[in-house]
Amino acid sequence: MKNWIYHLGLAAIAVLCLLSIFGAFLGAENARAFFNSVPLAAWWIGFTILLVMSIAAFRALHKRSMLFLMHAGCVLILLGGLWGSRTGQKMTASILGKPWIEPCYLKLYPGRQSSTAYRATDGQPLDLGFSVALNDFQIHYYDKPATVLLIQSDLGQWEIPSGKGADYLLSARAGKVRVLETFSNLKIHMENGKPVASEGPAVESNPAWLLEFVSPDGRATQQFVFEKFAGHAMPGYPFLVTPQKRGMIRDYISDVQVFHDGQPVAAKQIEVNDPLHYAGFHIYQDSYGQDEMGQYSVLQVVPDQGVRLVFGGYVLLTIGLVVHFGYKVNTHRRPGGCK
Amino acid sequence: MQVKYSSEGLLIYAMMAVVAVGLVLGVMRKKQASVFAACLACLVGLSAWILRWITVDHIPMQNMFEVFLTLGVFLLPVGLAARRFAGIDHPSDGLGDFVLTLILLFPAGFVFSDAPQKLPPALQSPLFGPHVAVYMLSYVLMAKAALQAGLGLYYHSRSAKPSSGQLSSEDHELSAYLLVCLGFPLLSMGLFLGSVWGKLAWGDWWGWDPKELWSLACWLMYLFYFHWRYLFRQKMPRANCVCVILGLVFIIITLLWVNLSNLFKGMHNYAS
Repeated sequence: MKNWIYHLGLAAIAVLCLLSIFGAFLGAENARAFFNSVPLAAWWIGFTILLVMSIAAFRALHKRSMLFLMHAGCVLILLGGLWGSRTGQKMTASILGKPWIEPCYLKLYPGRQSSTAYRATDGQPLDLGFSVALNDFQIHYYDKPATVLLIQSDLGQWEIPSGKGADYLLSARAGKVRVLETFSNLKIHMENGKPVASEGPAVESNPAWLLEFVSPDGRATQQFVFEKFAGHAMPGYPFLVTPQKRGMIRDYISDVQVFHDGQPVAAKQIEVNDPLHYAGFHIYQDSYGQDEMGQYSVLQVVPDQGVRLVFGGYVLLTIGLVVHFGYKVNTHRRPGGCK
Repeated sequence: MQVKYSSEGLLIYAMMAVVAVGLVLGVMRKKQASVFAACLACLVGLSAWILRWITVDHIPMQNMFEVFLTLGVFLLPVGLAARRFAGIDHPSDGLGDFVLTLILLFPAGFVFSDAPQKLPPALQSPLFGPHVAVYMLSYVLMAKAALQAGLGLYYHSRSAKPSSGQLSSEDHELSAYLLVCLGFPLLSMGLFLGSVWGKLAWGDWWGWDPKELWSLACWLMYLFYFHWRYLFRQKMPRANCVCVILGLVFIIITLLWVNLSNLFKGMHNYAS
């Protein structure tokens, strides 16, 4: 029986190794689906049972505590993986009678809050049961970023520097463009009943540009572009112009607050590698973007089911490996000694 | 192929030259001079590594140039430590270290670009250094183990009795086993630290990314080796040696093919 279990275990390791190589050729998304499929779920359960059987069957694992720790660590990792899998989470939610919240994304603008996230798999809305408010969102660059103007129309897409001055030929059909004026704080005031643009006081910020497009037939059109209303196209303007920052990002940080039943329950500045943990969920800084409503932050909400078991397994396995193999090397000091 | 004229590049070439001299001295059986060359090469290599750290302002393990620089620089000290503390001690080991160092430094010296890169947000983690460092150490030990396994296979295939002072194929097989015993806990720690980091940065402790799956395949290969060797002991030395060599093949695929090939697109591609 023991021999049978050992040979089966050896074969199972070889099969898992081959499955890993096969999965690597599938790409992350397909591999996730493959390893979470029903036949593979049966395989994981069988592998875990085999490990538990081997712990029960082999006396050496009871006598040598480090060997036991290593195998018990593997069992914990597998159990954590099974419990934290999509099927494991679904089953737990149905047993506890709670709604199952899959990994999902929150799109938040500064000063807004939302309890509705969108499922990572199909984009369907989900109610989190708590709401997340974004107080502030900041992007930090290594060096001062350069601003470029992204110009889009039916005729194509171009990117030009945002500095005042030179003419840029877009194409023979689209014509030319020139940055006529740049403003750090654009203010509009009326002169003789007409709106006039001017530079406002430096204490406020409203970056803007005045562009002049010249069509191939020589007709000139002026267009204002605002950083705070990026992508905003005025009626009749043929071009959509979006200012964009170009530079190496050092970090992006969301200052968030979590509310449950209207009461603040958690707050943190979330950044990459530093999520917020609340009520069995980790909330991560995922990405950011900009649309006609301004800049927004994308947060990822992920349930943490099974994670503690997995990390506990890592601890047991690491202790077992270091002590066991350290002892092994120490006792084998010289080649030709103990085999 | 590109020649580097930066300070780090010149120090890499200096180290390669000293290592080549050490190899020649080793072949000529001038042991003391060979050890002196190894120590000098360590110093030159360490200078290049520290200079790189200062230049890029983070631990130099971000891209392929830095990874091969780290592997090349730390192979000799790891080899010396393995001989000193683990008792894996015989002349071919020293010569093997020189050859492996030259092989590892060549891509850093002539293949990969040394243009400094800033760390993207995901890599700015306290786990970045430990995760990559333990992997590098384990890779160095596994490379040395594969060399021993290769020698074991070679002597086994010749089936000639070694002359006095020379090691038998069984001794080489045992050396390979001891080196894998040293490298495997580090390889495991690299995998676990990466998993913890993945949970902190990307939201999942296992992302089924091609690099993660190849790393798992490496780990499983060595796991298979330990269980196989426990079952058959040294009754099947050739099979034991083949397992260790296959483990290194998997490591090379994980390190090079997965990062450089478009076939395996994933979250770890920033390392290319």
